[in-house]
Amino acid sequence: MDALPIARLQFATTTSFHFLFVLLTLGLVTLVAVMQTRSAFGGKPELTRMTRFWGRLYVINYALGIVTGIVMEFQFGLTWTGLSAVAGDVFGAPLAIETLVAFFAESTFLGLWIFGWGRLNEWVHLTLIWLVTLTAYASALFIMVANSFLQNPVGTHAENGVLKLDDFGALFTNPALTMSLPHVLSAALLTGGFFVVGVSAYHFLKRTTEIEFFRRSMRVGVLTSLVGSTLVIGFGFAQFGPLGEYHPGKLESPGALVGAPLGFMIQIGFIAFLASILGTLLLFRNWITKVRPLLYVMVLAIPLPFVAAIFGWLVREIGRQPWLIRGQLTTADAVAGIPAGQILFSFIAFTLLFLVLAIADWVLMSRVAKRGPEPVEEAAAPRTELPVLSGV
Amino acid sequence: MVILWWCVLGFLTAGYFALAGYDYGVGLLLGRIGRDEAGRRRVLGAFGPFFLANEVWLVAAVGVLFGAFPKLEGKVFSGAYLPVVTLLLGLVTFTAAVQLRSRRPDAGRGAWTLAITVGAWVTAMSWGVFLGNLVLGLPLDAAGKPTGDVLAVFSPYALLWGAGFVALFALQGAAFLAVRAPAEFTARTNRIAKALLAPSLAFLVVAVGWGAFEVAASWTVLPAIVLAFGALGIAYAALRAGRHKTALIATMTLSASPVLAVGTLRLPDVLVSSVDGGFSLGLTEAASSTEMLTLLTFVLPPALVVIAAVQGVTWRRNDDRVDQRSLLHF
Repeated sequence: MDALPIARLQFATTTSFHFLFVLLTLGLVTLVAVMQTRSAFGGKPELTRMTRFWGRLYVINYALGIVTGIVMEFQFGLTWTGLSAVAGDVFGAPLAIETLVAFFAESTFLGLWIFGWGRLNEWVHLTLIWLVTLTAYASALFIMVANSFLQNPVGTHAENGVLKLDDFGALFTNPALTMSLPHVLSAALLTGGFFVVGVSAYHFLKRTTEIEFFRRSMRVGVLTSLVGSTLVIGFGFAQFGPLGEYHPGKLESPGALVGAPLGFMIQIGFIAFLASILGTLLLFRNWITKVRPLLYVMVLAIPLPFVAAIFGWLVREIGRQPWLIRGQLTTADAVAGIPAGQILFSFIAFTLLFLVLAIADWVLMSRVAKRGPEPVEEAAAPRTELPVLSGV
Repeated sequence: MVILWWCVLGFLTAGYFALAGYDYGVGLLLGRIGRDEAGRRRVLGAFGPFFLANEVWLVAAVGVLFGAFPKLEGKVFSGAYLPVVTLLLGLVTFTAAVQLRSRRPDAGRGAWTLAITVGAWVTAMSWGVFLGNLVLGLPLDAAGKPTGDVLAVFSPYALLWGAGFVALFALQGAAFLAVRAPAEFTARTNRIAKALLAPSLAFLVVAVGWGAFEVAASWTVLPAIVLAFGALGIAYAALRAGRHKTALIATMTLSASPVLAVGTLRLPDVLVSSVDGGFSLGLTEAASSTEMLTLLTFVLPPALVVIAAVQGVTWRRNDDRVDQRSLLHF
């Protein structure tokens, strides 16, 4: 039994799970921050309840993003030991900065935000959600810096088989990064927008009495999807130019393995764009909330951006093979000499655990989403005699 | 410069054990102290405001390990592959279960409660086994490649550490609940904390005594050992005197001291092999290039100070007991 394919599969599975959760985290936190901002600047009372309801869903989703991220971080040291031997001096820095400056801060601020509901000054609380958003984006930046370095190891030279850093700034102007980072961020916005639209559509299908609540949510979601899908397509195609320069032939390399997901992703991108334009037009006089067949489509479309994102990620990573760091280190040389049986054990254990937790998490989210927001009285005045008060 | 970064890494890992240790301890004791659902919500509510902030100290520590000591990072996890894998399985189960458990007001929570307890046990055991292995040295060949010897990583000495960490974390969790849980739980947590003093002392004595025979330690480890015994002594006195906050700080220090002992055990070597004629790694060799360390010095310590200050605000705001008006998110 060969350890390499199992180790690769283990990393790919962990990363896929991680990506599914952080994508929605990034998109949804932006929407929540926008809602809370409008609420703070004298918006309708619905906006406060919207912040709370969508914030609750965001927090459930966030839980799995953290745990899958921890396992990913450890896997660099568990199975990809060649990476630190060859590029530790370079690759470690963006990861270290990501964990401390971005993720560490993000979780700290999020904890304060969750437990600051109704306790902290309104403006401090608003600042916290923006700090969470900002650090989440910073996290995406540093991770994409690290990933882009693997795609295209700029700013370094090899010395006795070890990569030495010449120019730290070059890591941030990497042509593999400049267009792909905004592409990923706009994909996250699209995902968040589709999610909010789909959940709101569900409530209109169920003839909700919270019309104002979900009408407003729908509007925010549709406009976010429009912005997200426009940018995701723009920055998607903008990547072909630099890609042709730094890695010509990447998209042809292992044939259908790269071509097919690329095609599907582009299809979904265009469908999302057309749907967002249609949705925006239908915002006129709230027609969007009344066309029932379309509401069904909106619910069913929630998974589409996730599927597209996984396809996009496959294109980027499979196209890099057999290299771990393109031109410098192959995955075969980077894998640790762990007995294959032990890697197989961990692969099965992680996959089963993530599967159970992901399903539990999604079931929880759909239940909470279906319940809808708390009734008005309760949100307005937290009943102090209740035995248990919930933050978000 | 290298010494500075070794201290930063030590600060982050020690901080992780001092803070997250009581999360796991509370998880270990969850069923024993919270007898009904309302009780369990309050027990979890005790660490609620700190939970997210505590857990990410580990992520930050591993990030610094990768950024500042990439060669060590490449050996230390792969060399103890299975204990690290079980650690992650426990950690993921515990962390996810805590966050997801109480999200629906009307749902059954038995499975999540079980997952929290089991996750805490596996996490505590695995940390002990992993650190015990670092004391003995990892099964690495002369080139530093893992031999993959399963029996070597689960040796009796490592298992002793596994059991010891369960005692240390449970003691810490009980001391924490004595400070933060509602007053009705104080008698129970106090009793449990006192009962855990003896097993903790036994672990320290046996681990140090047995370790002294097994490994050639450097004198640099002495402060960490003195710290551990001192902290346990203070915890004993404070628990008897009913000074809960002092007892909590002492048990936090106690849980942090084993990792400090591991970090200072063989300086200037940071990692050795348990196999004869095997591999060893010095502190300077393990570190990243001087240029990179300089760059990290400008970015990370300032960020660390700011975040620690923000976390300090969290502690200040929640330094009294959980009561009727507390937000119980978890």
